[in-house]
Amino acid sequence: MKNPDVALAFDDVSIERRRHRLVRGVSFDVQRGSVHALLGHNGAGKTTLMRGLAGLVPLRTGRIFSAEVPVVLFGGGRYPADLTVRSIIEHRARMLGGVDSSRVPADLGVDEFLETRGAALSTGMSQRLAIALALMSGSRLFVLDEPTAGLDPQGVEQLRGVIQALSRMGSTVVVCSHDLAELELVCGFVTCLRRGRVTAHGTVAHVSDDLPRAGHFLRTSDDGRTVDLLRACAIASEAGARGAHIGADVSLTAALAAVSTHVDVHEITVDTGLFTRIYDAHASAPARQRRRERTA
Amino acid sequence: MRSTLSAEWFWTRRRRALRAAALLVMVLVCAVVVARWLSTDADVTSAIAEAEQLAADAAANGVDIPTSATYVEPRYQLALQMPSDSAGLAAALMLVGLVTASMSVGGEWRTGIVRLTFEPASSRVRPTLARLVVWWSAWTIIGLVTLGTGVAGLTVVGSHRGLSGGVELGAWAGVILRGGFVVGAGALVGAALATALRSDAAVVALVLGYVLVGEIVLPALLATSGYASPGMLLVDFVVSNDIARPVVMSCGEVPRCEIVYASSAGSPAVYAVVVMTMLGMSALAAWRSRTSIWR
Repeated sequence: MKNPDVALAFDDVSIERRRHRLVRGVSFDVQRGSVHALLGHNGAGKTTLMRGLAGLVPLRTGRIFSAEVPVVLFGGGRYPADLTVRSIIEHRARMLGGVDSSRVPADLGVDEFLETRGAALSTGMSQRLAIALALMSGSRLFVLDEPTAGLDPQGVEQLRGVIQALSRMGSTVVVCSHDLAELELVCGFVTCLRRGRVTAHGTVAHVSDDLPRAGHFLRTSDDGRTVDLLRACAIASEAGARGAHIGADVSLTAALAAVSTHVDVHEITVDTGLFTRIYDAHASAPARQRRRERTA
Repeated sequence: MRSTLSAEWFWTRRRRALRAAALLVMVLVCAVVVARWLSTDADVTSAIAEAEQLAADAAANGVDIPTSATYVEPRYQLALQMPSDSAGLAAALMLVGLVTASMSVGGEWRTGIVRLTFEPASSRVRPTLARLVVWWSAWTIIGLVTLGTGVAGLTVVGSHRGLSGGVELGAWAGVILRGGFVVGAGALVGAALATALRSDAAVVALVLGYVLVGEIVLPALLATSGYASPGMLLVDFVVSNDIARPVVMSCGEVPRCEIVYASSAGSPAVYAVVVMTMLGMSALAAWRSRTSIWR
């Protein structure tokens, strides 16, 4: 790999199973030290691509260049029910030729459940343990496949903290997930797959350049009055559970000017998140996309 | 390879399956010893009297049966029974080792836990072979220890409740060593089959099917043609009687004394077949470990 800024590069990668091509000529780079989102509908080829990266399945064509050994953590990873976390860590240390098992960073909080057996690990604990085991190998390249699946909000928040900690340590993290709101908070780069092909790739700003704008919800001290005020200014608005909704074609500045002197504006949120719009435009299932195009 | 073996040994010896199975086979061995203790008796006087009474009853009915034919030896005949008891135990231990290894290794494949140990295809052969070596060595040791315990227990039974004469040191050692060899091979085959099939249930079903057909139905159907099942051949191998070399032993003043044959080192062909099977299964497991993992 010539570019030192690239941690991982897929070059014309195709993977097939039983003559059915699941990944078709995928090429993209992952920048070193970045947190990179991989989006795609079910069956788009995300997990298959990650299996190819992990060496679990062979590549039909193409090559994968990696600056260092990638650690791929698949969703639903299980541990032996009868072994403690301490034993699992010790086993990994021995596998790696006797590395110091205390290399597990304290940020991960694995110390809190060292004596817990595999059967009693929560999804969040399993995720943290998987990352701890990966860190022991000294890898700086992590691929997380559906990391938030099965996590409660607190677990998701902890995982976000772990990803941010990995990023601070200079690690590169690729996240495959359908949790678009969470991806939006941590990812700076995105690659979209549809039916095994790359449909968009680049920084979040680049990929979202030509996306339709989002509408907004204004949550105010009196949402009903807010709607009336907006309508009085010829701004179409509807009251809903999340507040007064204004469409994507309405200037937010104008809407705020119309209401801010009469009601207190507590919160402004978009009606469709940035990653949801990226997903809809570049990574949703083909049938859904066609339906949206017909509707438009 | 040393670190991989160390890791695999650390991993396997902590697994509940291995500990539970080791405990089970020790209980099994102790149960056989206790059963032999309870079912034997050093009192030959009443056995002789019973045999004479049976012969007399037959004579009264006009049937001439010698006392030697009605005599049932109440004592534990160590030289005769210890090898066959140990061989039966070795066969049972081999089956337990095969099933335990296949359930443990196959379970890890089925649940995806195996990914903790290795991922890229290029680096799977070493941990796969290390795992086979660990299961083979663990069960060989378990086999040697438990069979050694069993032989020791049966020797106690023989010395207190029977005949301890006619046993050579080579017979003791040979039975234990060949038993350990067979038991270890069983565990290796179980672990290799589980790796090849990537499932515990598939191996257990296969083993059950084989035992039913190969060890029960076929021997029953082909009994007249002299068919010997692989299990029977292995039991004979552990016993390894040399029928050309009867052992001189004294049974005392009893109507009948069984002929006891000396133990040989075992058939070279069986050694070769067992070793070839282990190598073949290891090669199959190594090859299968490198193929795609889609789950």
